[in-house]
Amino acid sequence: MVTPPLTSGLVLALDASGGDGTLALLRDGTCVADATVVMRGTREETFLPALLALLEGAGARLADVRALIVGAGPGSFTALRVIGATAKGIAEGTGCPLYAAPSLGLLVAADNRTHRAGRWFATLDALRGDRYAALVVTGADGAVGAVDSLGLVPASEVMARAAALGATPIGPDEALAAMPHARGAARALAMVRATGPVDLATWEPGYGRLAEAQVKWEAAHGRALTAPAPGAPSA
Amino acid sequence: MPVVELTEAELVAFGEAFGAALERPAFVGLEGDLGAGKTTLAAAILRGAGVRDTVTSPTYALVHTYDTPRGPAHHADLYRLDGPAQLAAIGWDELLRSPDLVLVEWPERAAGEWPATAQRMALAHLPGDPGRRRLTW
Repeated sequence: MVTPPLTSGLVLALDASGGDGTLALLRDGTCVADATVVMRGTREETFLPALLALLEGAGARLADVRALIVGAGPGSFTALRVIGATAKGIAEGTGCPLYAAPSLGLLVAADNRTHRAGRWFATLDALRGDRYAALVVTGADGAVGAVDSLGLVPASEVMARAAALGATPIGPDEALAAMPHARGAARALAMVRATGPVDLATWEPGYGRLAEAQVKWEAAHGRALTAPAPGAPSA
Repeated sequence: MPVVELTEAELVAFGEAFGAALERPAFVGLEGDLGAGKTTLAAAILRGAGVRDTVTSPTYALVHTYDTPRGPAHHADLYRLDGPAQLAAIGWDELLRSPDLVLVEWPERAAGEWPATAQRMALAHLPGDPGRRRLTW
């Protein structure tokens, strides 16, 4: 598949790592429209209509989209999976490439206060007293240059860990309050394109920790739950 | 060939997004055993394509046609056909030439009459995991 430059034409970005669905339409590398859709408790039917309305408002159709960027997590398990399935459906229907972006990078890039060279200790609530964390480095032009996942960090250690890395904490529960949003993709295009499009058959969001259902299944069965390889014969 | 394992919510999200993105003409077959979720996926694709009416299984009517802002969408179910010879009775030739969206459940019943260039998706149960389906396309 030919991968078009993400800085020309229409690019649609989606993310749901914070639990809400977020959308952004980028034209020639600049965010021209964005939206946030409450997904919880509504069986997710509001997301696609919001996506189509966003395109219509910009005078565009899905067929005009040249590439998709989806937030890869970590974050809300169900929302990430639904958004991931939506992104795959659009990619399959349009034939355009799908790229994945670290959602903690989108969190930093979506906030105007980080539009400068900096080191950011980005976090999202991981429940049970933990935060998903990543070190996000931005350049002088505000572009995200690197996102290094730090995994799960106890909430009580965020300040110390950030200080040790010379980074500023940012996230919904930090002093610099921010939420992940798909519009952050506009400041992460070079990094996203460098990783190349994902394989629709194998790509899945990275949740940051095992789903609760998997934890319970493994506790009940006393062994790890391993997914069968795609195409593997059924037992 | 992509293979994904999806919950019902994910299958619906995939189908709605796929339906919204499909360019016409589109001819898509949906394979899978009884209860695999073909009609759930078909309904999601049709909703994504703009169908606002309630989508029901066409098992007895054989073909349902819906209006969408982008033109008609046809949903056929070949399960009750005894063989390809009966395809003429449901207007198969017209469906093949249609500039619209055509979704066909049980495409294998069309045998050699199935258009070689048409897209096919297959749904399968996952042993021991009734909450998810394997989708191949």
